[in-house]
Amino acid sequence: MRILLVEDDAETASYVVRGFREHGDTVDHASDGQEGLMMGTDASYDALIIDRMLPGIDGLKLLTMLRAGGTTTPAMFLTAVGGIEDRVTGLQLAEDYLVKPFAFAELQARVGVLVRSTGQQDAPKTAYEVGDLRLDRLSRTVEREGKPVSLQPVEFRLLEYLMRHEGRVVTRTMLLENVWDFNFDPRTNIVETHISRLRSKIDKGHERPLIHTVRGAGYRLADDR
Amino acid sequence: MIAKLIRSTGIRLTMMAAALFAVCTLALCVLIYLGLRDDMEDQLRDQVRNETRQLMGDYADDGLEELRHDISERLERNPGTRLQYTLVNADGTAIFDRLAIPDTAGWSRLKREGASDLLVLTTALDDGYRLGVAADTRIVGEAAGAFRHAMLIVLLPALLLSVVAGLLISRRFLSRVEQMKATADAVGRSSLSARMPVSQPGDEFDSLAGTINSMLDRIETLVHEVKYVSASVAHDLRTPLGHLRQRLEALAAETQQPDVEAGLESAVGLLDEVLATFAALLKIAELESTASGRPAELVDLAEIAAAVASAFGSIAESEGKQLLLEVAGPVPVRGDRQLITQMLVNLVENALHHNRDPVTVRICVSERPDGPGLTVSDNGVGIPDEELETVTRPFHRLDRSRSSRGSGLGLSLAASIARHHGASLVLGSNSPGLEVTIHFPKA
Repeated sequence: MRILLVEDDAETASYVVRGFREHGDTVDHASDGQEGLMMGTDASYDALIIDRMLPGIDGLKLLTMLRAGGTTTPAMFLTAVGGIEDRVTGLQLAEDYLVKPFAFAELQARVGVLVRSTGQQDAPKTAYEVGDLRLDRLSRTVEREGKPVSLQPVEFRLLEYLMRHEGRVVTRTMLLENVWDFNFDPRTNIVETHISRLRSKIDKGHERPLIHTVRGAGYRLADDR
Repeated sequence: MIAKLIRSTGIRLTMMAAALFAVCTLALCVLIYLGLRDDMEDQLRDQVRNETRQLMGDYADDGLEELRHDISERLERNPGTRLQYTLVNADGTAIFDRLAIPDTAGWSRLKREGASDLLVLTTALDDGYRLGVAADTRIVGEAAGAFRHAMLIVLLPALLLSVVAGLLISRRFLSRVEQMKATADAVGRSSLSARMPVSQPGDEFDSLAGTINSMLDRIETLVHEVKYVSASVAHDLRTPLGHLRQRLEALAAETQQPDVEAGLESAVGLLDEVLATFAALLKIAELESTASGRPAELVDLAEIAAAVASAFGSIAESEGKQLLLEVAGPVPVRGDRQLITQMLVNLVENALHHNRDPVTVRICVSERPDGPGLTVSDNGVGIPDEELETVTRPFHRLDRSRSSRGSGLGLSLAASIARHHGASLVLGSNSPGLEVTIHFPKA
């Protein structure tokens, strides 16, 4: 992956750059809006990560200008500005919005999904298959090894999201936002509880588990051979 | 209805003005009436005095016989409008009109049964004779009656006119008051940019509006400063806290010692709790300082309640608790879906976490005549009555040890969200347990 990071805070920038490089991705760093504007028009980036408070051209204006200039690279705001209204205006321009401070795993997982889901092949499909697990969105049925599995509506949505992002790490926050439509963090372990119920229905009694916990990051659904 | 009318300042002022006007007019009329009556009586007295003078002139020249002759002549000349005359000798025998005139000379007033009074001027003659000339006051009474009549005819329409004029004036006056009230209401609903209307003439209202406006300017500046400060604090604190988090995470990733890694991870966890409290505080501050009492989006309260119930139902079950949902049909309210969801989540979590024993939590959504209602009730330990008021304040905790998890901001955030939507959040006893009712304005 090639990522452009527009961030004026040197420490955060080096943390993000180091994190992605350790995982084999390429990150270019622009430290102000002007530089970001020049570099952002380069179409070879897979994702833009933009701080909202930047010297010169601020993040919001930067992305507006890039979009007006025809740049369609998926973008995400990374910001200390976490107000309700700020989030709404941010999401009108960018595909995702992450409030500082953040865990690197969260950023990495979100960028991974951002690049995939705005890519060509990821329009929601009518059915997903991972190994011997099959989910049909039209008939709303799930089968494992050809045997039907009965799921609650929320468990079905959770499994659908995991399967749609097969092989990718999805974090707790991403699940809360996309499965439950909660953009806040409840005190209760909703995600953990529902994942464990889903596991007992999908993986229990099968030799190879499909739902994996990624320590310190989230969950990943994959048929790891 | 009538009580409400009486309470209205405009109506009260109008009625007072009309009453004052009526009293003044009446007093003026009475004065005029009394003056008029006295004038007419004076004229009568002049007439009587002149007549007496003429008669006395003749009497002085030619004696009693001539006087009798004079009086007879006058009585015959114009019997209709004549004065009345009496001549009384020393024995008290009256000649001509038999009037009971007093013994002493001078003016007197004779009352008569069924007729108007007489004004009599008695004059003493020689040999104990007395002459009385009297005028009938009937004409004065008639004129006064006509005047009273005219007065009533004038007074009634005048009174009516004064009420109408008063109402018109008070409506103008009240419309200014209404405008000011509307502005004050808007400010109360946290639209701080609203200002009182000030018109050209610069009357007392304009001066009051001007004073209030400069007060509002000051408040608005202060609120903006507070917002600016919290935004800066947010940025300035989040940045170093973010760096701290990054370094702890990097150290945890690098270390080879499992116990150090565990320690670092728990430190990151603590830091995340600090950040969550901080985020909740900023959110409360933002909700309290932003306008938009009623955002435009229509959302279904029943749908939100169903989503929250499905998210928390199985969790409650796994803890041996019960979460029940009571909805009849769609209940639309105007608001922010995320905020309303968070408010309900906070209330449900509050009910589930503050009760250790198996508890039943009920979410009830209903459309009431005065607007949509959302109730979260439980049959748990509840909140002491004296703390129901204070419990929605930030950082209020029932267990004073502050040992339980959570920031202590859940209920205050819920209350802020309710206020942000123009809704009221009321805590009450469910005996046993707590009942929280949120009452939304009509969508």
